[in-house]
Amino acid sequence: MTTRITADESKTAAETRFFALAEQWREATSYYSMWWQISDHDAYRKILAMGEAAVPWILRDLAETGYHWFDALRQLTGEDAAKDVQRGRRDLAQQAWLAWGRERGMIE
Amino acid sequence: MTEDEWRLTVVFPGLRDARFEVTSPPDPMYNCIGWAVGSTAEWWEPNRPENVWPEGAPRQHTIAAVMTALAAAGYERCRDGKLERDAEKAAIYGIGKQFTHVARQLPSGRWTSKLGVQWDIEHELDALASSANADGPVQYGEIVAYMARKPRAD
Repeated sequence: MTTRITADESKTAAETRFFALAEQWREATSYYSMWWQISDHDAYRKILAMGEAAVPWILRDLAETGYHWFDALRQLTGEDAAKDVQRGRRDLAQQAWLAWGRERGMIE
Repeated sequence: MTEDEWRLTVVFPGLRDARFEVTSPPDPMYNCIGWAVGSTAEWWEPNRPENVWPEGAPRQHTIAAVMTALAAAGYERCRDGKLERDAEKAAIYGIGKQFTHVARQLPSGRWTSKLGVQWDIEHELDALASSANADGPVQYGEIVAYMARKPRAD
């Protein structure tokens, strides 16, 4: 995995940018149910472009909002922490990803 | 009008002149199709493993695919959204060949929708269609099909 936050962007600035983008994405897409509409947003594409460094922030946002982060987590980590979870159980998928993040010290 | 309802009229201008009520808090665990089939624990969507999609239904966002998925929940295609005795109807919204949203008819003849991760509302059917929301930021397209099933026991 690669970290795509530019060298001149401090971690704090990148984190601030991440949460601003996440808010933009949610604001624009939270009324949609289908991924083809939810994922088709510039802010989401910019978050994906931040790369692996965004994963701890994604996990934090997932814990707070339960939003549609599973695809981004799979893409950015190359793993699927929820692969053994019963299909359709987003609550369990969320728990599995948060446990995955805690095991790696990414979130508290 | 509550603040939530005011916000909804900004997102869906078609609700401004229509009677509607917010009937649940926001919840990211279920969506419009889950709500249409009677679940508050399932997000129905074809392609992602954390979501529900019936075996045998095409894993696509097409109108045909969602009709196959709803058929697995007991729905059959019907002609319109008129209230009928012993029929619980669903209205499918779509843009082009892709579906966007499903609303379920209530025994009163009004309709109920779960709006993404946001609230459930009770509403007039046309108030969420793009024809009533051309200037709004969220587009569900138009109603492209109706389906019906026997009402659930609950």
